[in-house]
Amino acid sequence: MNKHETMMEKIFLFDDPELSEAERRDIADHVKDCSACDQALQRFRSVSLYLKKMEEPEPRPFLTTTIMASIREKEFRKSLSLFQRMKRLQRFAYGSALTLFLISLAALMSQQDNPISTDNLLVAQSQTSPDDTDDIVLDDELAFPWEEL
Amino acid sequence: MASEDLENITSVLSGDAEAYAALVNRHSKKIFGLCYFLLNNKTEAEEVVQETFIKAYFSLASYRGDSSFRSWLSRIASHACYDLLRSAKKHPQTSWDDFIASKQNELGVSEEKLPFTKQLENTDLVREILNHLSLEHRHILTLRELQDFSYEEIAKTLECSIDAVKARLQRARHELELLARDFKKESL
Repeated sequence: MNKHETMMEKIFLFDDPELSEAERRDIADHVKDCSACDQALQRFRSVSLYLKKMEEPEPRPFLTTTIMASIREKEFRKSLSLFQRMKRLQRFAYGSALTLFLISLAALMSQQDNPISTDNLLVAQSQTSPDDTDDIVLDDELAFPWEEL
Repeated sequence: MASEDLENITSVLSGDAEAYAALVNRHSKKIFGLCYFLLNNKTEAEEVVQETFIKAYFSLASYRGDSSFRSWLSRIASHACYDLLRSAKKHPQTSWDDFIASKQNELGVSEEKLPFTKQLENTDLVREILNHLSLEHRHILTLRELQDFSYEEIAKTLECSIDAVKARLQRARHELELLARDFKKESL
């Protein structure tokens, strides 16, 4: 790329305040001697001037009101979904508590029907005499009567 | 403006949702302008503006303040515009050559003889030239020429380096000048 081609691109930054003094001097020196670049710069400047002058379109009135209303609605929906989630959690907690209560109640009731008290245990123990224990057959062959068949 | 923005942002983050209206009022026109020049459609631009401000509101906590609020908003709006353009697969409605031809028919012979600067004044030529630029070039020129963004703000909006901004701006302005040159040649 020769100097003219390099400068041809750079000249379009000439009016930007961000450009360094050295860069600006380089462009100015080139434009002074190059009529093509000078014309291009002038042409760009006139378009740029009208571009800056161009009126920006106006959004419709009440845009802010519409945006704020949408935000409020979204926030409400968000809080509603949080509330619903909390409600669901609450229902689950109630359900779990009720289940636990019913299980405990059932256990308590079955205990009342079949109370395992120490008195019952003593009665059961007295019904079995110490001699009976000798009759307990430990032999495997007798223990499985179907093998006799 | 930056300090006012920060003040409003702090208020919104501390629970005063209504302070956000001040931010919308301050920036909506510029954001609308950016969207309009990118999309070339008022209704779509308004929809994107709404989407931008709603999105910005709900992600305000993630705004770190390392760029100006307007560049942060512009970045959100630009992404939304690009998404819309990508989904709609939009392209310029007429080619540059067709536009030149139609413009010549539209303009009377007397108007064609007007100096170039006078034509710019009398017609909507500048806007048409802008619309016929590539999207990337139209984007950077809108930010720089119409919205007066600094190189740094453009870099933050386009998420690139300042050197990349300079290179892109050079190319965009060159394309703009080439189209203007083309029109001038045709109308002589």
